[in-house]
Amino acid sequence: MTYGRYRADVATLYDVFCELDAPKPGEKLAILRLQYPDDFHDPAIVKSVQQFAFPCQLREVEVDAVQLFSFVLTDSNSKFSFGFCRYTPRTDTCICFLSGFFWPNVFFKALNDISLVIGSAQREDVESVLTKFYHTDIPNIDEYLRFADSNQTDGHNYRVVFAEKIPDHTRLPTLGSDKFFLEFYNAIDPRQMLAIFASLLKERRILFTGRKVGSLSSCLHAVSMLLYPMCWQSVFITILPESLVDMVMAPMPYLIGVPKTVLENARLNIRDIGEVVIVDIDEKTLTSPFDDVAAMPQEVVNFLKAQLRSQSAMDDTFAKHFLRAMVMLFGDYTSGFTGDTPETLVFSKERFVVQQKPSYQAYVSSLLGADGVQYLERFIHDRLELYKDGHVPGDQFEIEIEQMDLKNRPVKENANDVIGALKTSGIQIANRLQKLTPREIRKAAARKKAHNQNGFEQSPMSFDNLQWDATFQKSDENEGFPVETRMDNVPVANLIDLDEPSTSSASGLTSVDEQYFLRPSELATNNRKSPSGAIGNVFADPFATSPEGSAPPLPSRPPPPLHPRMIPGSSVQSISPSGSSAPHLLHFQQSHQWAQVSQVGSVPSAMNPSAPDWYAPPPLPPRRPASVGPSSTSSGQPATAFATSSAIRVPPPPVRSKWETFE
Amino acid sequence: MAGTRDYDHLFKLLIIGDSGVGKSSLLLRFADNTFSENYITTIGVDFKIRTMDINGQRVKLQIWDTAGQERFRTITSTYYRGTHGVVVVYDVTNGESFGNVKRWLQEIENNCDSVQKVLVGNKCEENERRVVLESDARNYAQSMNISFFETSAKEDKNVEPMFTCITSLVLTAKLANPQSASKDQSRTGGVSLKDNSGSTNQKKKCKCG
Repeated sequence: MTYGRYRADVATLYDVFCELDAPKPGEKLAILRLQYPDDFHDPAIVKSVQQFAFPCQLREVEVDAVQLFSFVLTDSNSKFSFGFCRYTPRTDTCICFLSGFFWPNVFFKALNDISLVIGSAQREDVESVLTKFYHTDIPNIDEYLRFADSNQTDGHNYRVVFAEKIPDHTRLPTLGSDKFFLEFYNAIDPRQMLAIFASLLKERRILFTGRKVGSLSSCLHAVSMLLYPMCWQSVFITILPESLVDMVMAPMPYLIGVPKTVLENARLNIRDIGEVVIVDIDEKTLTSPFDDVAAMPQEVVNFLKAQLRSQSAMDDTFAKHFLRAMVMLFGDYTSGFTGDTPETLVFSKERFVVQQKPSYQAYVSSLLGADGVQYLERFIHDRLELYKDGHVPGDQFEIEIEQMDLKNRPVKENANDVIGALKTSGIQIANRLQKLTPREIRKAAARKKAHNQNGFEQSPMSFDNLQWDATFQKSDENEGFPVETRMDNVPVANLIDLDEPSTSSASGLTSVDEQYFLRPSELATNNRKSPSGAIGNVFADPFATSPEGSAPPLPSRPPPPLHPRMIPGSSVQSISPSGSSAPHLLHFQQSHQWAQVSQVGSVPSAMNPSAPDWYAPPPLPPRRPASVGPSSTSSGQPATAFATSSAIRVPPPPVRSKWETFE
Repeated sequence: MAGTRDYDHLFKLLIIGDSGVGKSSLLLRFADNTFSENYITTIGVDFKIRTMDINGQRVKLQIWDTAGQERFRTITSTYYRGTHGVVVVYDVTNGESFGNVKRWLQEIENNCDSVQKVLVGNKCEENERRVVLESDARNYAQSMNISFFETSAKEDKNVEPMFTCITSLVLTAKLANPQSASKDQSRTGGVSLKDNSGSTNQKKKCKCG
């Protein structure tokens, strides 16, 4: 997430609005038809808008559908401005708001409505709407931005009325209300999501490409959010214009979206680009010289594999998977804090690392040292500052830490007395009252253990999860404990093969998860409980209405296409190199292997996607039957299955863990 | 953008330092095309190009700069991963900028051993406002075993020798140890990896078929 890099100096709803014609052939800059306010005098910014609103000849890419996309500008303080663009192929024009506010729903809605005014009313009407919008009071987070302007008098005929809720960026994005996240969810295969996340954590140079600038820029925005609560600190360019394509040679970490045509025309030398992870949204391929997934702690990989294969509800479940992975990796960050008073707190890398589980130590140690990542350095720095000032962070990350209770971590004796004292006053008591935490469960289990004579002699209580679960299950009073807490401690993902159509898929879920898994029918009704009936259109899809008619309200649409999932065995064909010419890059395959794409040894002289086999596509996997839902109640054994699940102690059948055999 | 190569080596250098120490001025002094646009204030990253001749070898230099580095207490090692050399700049009239530089150099020293570096005190023409003594900086550079220059981008003093020095260092390192000095090239060379992947495929076939 990038909220740490939002501008602080924003005084107006938007900086500037531009209406642009496509650049003439051979020209770099789009033609400025209208600018508001017309006294906005920052030639560099206006020029950037002219570049970024037409990153390439958009008409070559899209001839029918309106495109909504978003670009990002970075100022000299490394703060962001956001360009929200609406391209109309029919007229080959683009309208664009540039703002310091990352409020896509607001600006896309406004763009859609203004496009109607542009199409049907007078120029002065357009300026009237823009003026009124410019001077709209800036609402607070979670309030509604309400806008109304109309003129039905002689010679005029327009009416713009909308209300959009101001998003709270400290909350997780939901698939139902976040255009960017939804497009990412639809566009990217779960295996690639995992690989992208792994490369993101390693702060790689990551390049996305695709024909549609809309889904391309959305994916970039969404990917930057996966690091929540941390922020991508390096180069971030959601859409790279043709004239700046050399920037992909930048040696430092980056997240850059490059329209496919730009990449094709550039004919860059891959050796000059260097080591880069390339995600092709159209071909659904990911190529990388690294195996970042293999470097991640297996527990986290297994967790994400299990979670991402399941279909997500339209709420924040999907984002929560990544949040939980972040908690597993970094949730114990306060154990690295040392100092007697809040003012003298410092972070000790060594202290933090030794207190992590052995399977995590190498990874987190590397992220703090040899592979030092800036987002983590910033995060720890910022949290430290908060604590020093006597504040207690209470964001979703901290809440999740509380709820997951850093399962299976070693006991911290007095490591965090200072932090603990601060925290007890801070974090949501209400949540804790509703259910027992794993820590409380462990206490109960420890009591139980005293009477337990069936093996497991170690004493005191070990927090090795397998052992703990084994102990726990010997208890006769299982039912007395909330299922979810037990699930928190089960390395269930070890037992699940992402590639296998397993009806026991629910085993990756806690009951907390379950409550998020609304069925599509529930979704529609739930989301229609509009809080403000007066504003009928509040939940209408702002994403892609067109003058010809607005799109149906988003929540009522069926869930997004299911993630394609592999049937075991079918991965054999996928390895076929099919004449690709990228021998230096490894190819991300269905079975989580980095297999070489090509058998040809020559280094390609140019990155030239006009030879499409550069991005050798994997075969299309069969679609998963819709009935195999993650919380499929039809299986009849969602929660209780875990309590008695023998799988916890039984080693996973070798057939299932296909990817693990390829170390 | 180079379909055909008109150089023997492409080196990517980074220039780091607080804003205001004169990084852009140094780059402008050095770059081939001083009229090229500046993108650091619009996309937060920019580079300048210069082709040099070092001992008969044609070296193409890209020198990269990013916005807002001073917000980092430590610039972590991923920042230097794809780079061959770093030009570390402070302002002789600004003690804080020298303090930052020391911390950053320490990180490079600890975690990025294959990166060549040079320490630069810029604005040496402003002698009456100087707060960082040349001798102090030189001693520090010696203790870190790195080259040191005082430059004036404004009066074009020592800029050329400084860039020549870092380029030579990178070239020497590359020629001495092609593996580490050009990680990306060796890694993406293709031929050695081909066999690896062949065996991977083999494994897979065994497994699945």
